[in-house]
Amino acid sequence: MRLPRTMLERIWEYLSRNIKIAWKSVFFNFKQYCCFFAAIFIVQVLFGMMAISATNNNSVEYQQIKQDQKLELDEVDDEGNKVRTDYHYEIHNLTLGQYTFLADYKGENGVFDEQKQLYVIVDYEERMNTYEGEEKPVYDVYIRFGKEKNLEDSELVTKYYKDFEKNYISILGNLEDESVSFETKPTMLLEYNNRVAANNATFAVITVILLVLSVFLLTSIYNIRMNQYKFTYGVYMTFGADFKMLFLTAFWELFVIMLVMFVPSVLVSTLVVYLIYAPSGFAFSFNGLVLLGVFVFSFVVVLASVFMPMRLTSMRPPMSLIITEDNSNLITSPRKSFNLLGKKFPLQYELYSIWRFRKYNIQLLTSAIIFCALFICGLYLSNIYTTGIEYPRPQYEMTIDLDNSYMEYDNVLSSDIKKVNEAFLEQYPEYKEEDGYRAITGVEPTGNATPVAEDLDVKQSPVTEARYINSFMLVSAGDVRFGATGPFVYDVKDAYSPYTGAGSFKVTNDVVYKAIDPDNADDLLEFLSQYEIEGDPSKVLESKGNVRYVIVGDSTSNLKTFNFDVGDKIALSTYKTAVTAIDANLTGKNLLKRQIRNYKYEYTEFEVCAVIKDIPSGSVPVYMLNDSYLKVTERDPQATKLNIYTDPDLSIEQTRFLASELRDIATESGSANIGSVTVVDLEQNAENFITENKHYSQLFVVISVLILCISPIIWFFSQTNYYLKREKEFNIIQSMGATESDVRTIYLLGGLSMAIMSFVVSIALSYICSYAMFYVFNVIVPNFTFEYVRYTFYMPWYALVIAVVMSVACGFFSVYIPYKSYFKHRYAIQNVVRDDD
Amino acid sequence: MARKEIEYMLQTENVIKQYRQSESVITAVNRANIKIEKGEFVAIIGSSGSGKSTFLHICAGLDKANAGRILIDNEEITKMGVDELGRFRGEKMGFIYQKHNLVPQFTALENILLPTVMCNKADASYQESLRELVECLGLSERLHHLPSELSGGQCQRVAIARALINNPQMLFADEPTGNLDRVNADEVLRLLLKIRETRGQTLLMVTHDLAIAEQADRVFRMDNGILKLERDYIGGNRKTVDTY
Repeated sequence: MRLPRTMLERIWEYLSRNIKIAWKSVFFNFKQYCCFFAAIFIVQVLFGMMAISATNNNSVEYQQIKQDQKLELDEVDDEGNKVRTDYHYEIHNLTLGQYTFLADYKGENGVFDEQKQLYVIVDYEERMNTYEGEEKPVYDVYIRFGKEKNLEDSELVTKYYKDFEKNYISILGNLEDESVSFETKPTMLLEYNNRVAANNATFAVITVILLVLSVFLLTSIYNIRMNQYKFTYGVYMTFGADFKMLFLTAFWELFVIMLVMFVPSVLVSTLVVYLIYAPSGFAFSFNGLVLLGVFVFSFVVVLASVFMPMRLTSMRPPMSLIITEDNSNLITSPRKSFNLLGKKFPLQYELYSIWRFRKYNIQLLTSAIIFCALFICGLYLSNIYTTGIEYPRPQYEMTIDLDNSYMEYDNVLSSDIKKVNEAFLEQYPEYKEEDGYRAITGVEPTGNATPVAEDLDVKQSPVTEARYINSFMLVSAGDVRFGATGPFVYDVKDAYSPYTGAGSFKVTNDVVYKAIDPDNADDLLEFLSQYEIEGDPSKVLESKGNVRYVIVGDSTSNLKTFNFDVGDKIALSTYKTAVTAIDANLTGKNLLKRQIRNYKYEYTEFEVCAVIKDIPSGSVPVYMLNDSYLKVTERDPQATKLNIYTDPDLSIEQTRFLASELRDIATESGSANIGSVTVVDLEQNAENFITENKHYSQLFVVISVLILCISPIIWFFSQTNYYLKREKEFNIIQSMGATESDVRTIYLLGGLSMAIMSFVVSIALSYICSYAMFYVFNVIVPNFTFEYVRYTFYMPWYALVIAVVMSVACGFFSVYIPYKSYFKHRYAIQNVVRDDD
Repeated sequence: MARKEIEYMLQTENVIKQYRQSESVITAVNRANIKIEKGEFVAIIGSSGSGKSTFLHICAGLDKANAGRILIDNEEITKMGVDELGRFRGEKMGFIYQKHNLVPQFTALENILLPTVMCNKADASYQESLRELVECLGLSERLHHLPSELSGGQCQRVAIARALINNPQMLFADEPTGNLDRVNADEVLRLLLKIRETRGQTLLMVTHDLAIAEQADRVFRMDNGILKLERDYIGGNRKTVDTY
């Protein structure tokens, strides 16, 4: 076969020719390229670590499940056949009747279907339990949802799980004596596929971020190199090089470096990830595809990072490249420089030079220090993984089905929940020593806050988002913080139903109305006492007639928006009718402005009796009594859910005890269709999350440190090249009478000025980045997770100190080294100058 | 008898190059017109700063004119995109700088072959040209030396070989002997002209040296950006015109 051979020969000739030239170019000018070795090494290590840890994340999760479930997931039965013994759900303490129901139930109206098998009992354990003096068998049952072939379909498994809970669990409760209770527990396997998908999605996102970062890094240093070596590309272009040729020339050079660094970087990244994961005790896994991944990733980075510098270079006339052999291309035009410093030598001479080179200095400072800032961001992220959540979150969520049960959140239920505290103290008497100890620290009645228009009449809820009922809040303009986004000036003239209160007002519909039942207010007030409160919240109960009090928050999207004080007045609007229709495409402020113009409103005035300072918030909460709530929202303030807060220091067993007690309340109080107590166990989940993701935290630390290492590369590479080109200038000024001491002063000034500038810039950038991270996690992320968790803004001081010290040191020593080099080689340099002349 | 139609290698029409400096505008090239026949050797002389090098760079597409047209082998390079111009330059033009501008990390041979790499020439296509140039320029002993290991004259000979390796039809030389002593300058020029004559290439050279200019077919003078014909040795007459 002649043709393929010829093709191979041509490809070989092409590759060997280009690699040979690139190899020579790179290794002949090793000093020019050494920072590319370091940068590409870091890029490959970063990606390698991410890829290897992504593989290990899934593997560790799988091993954790195996360990937790104490089962081999791929067991072999007696006949040597592989059987799956994994399960999604555990039910403990079932009676024989309940167990038989689960094992045999094929009711004609049931959901069991041979073709769409909902669940399989994988295993069960029988134990003997003494109940009322009689020994009876109890069963622990392990259930898998769906048939084997469906197991990879996480959506289907989740659907079966929900169907199972809805259709079976409530019936199980009805089969036996009320005092007999069983426990249910979804396993980690239920979420495994979702978590794998989440892990993979996270990896994909991080890969993209890393790609952008890597391209930015290599483009930055390639630009620095281009600035210094434009001459060579000018020569290439003189002899016919077009963009493609320039691009390929640059690409092959970096490709050679990429090949050289490939093996060391894979080895280092594997070692680092191994060291991070080894303490977990789980087997370390390495997927061969990681090698391909690192190669492809760095290949793409190399391709992308030389594209722009070469495109820009190819568009310039070759002569403009050839004539910029010195630093003249880094100087801001003298026409744009004002001679504010005069020419006194050497102090003002050098200060003037710094000013003349400002374009270069700004580029250097920003590109080098941005990596210090990224280091701080990385440690911020790392801290978030380990810090956890500092604000109270509900431990349980109790759902009350108002349509199908007699249960409601009233004195009786409130009292029953309080009794759980007493039961807890009986069970754990050591807590009796603490005065007034309560395991359940707060109960917050809640429900669906976002009704759609057509079901306003039938749905009940003690919480309502103002914007969903076309309502809004008017506050005195002075109560809105300067620079706060959201509230805008209320124009009385524009309103169809103007609010006639005295003064100027601002308006927002970023408000959530919350009802307080006067007969059952203690629970809520107790719940609110977890936060920092100014004023007397219990005064809200003194509302009477037209004197209405409210408790308000001061933040929207976790950012302080209002300056409320006790005694301030607010007004809440109630939508009545639409006078003119509104464009359905309007949203946000435009929609609200149009609503004010086109809708008829009534206003209810309130006085602020207490301000909650730190409550996690999407919209600003406004608490009022039931009658006021009904007046403003026209919704029945019946609670459909209870958020139950507990002492966060409880152990898992104690938490389980509380869950069991709460479940008993639900069983005792209602019928078979009462709904269920859903044990969300958010706090425990958060703790688990932190424990499970500890390696993420360590990974972020390592990544951050690697990113920080990029900064010195840029500093030293850029400054060495810059001062190398300035050596000619120093030789010339020395030949014209400047002393060595003068030149030393010039270097010293350069170093000091860079150190001072980098000190200022690194502090400023670090603060900006930290605030950006705070904003992202406090404001933006909650919008996607539908859950407001409040983090406080903080600056990781140790990271700031490291970043600043690093920047200042780099700023100074990146000048110091060229300075030493200059004096060491001075005579040699003078000879070179003589040759040039 | 039908009159033989003249084939022009280089034609420029009203080429203008201006630089802005503070408030004033400096006109480096002012409506320069020139027509060079194929195979002709034209020299441009003039004082320093008169704009002759700028004009040469513009003619070779190494710099951009503010206005005017430039045609090389009847193709208008002023309308070409940067990439097209780059490829065209590699195929049709050779350029010799006053300072050799060799790439320091490449050996003499690699520097000579640089244009073949830039134009993706197959090995076989330039071997004959390479052999001829190396022999003619006396570089066979120095091919594997780096520029830093060569003398000024040798470097310039490598630069000439580099400019000629792709056998371009149009050669541009910007004071190619300006950095050399008399003996070396004469030798380098002799070799350059010899090869050019053998290959029938068109040469446009900028020089200070009147002795070199005398060897050209025609001599132009650049004075404050204005290009004037100084001597026409082929016509045998000395004539001065404002524009050609």
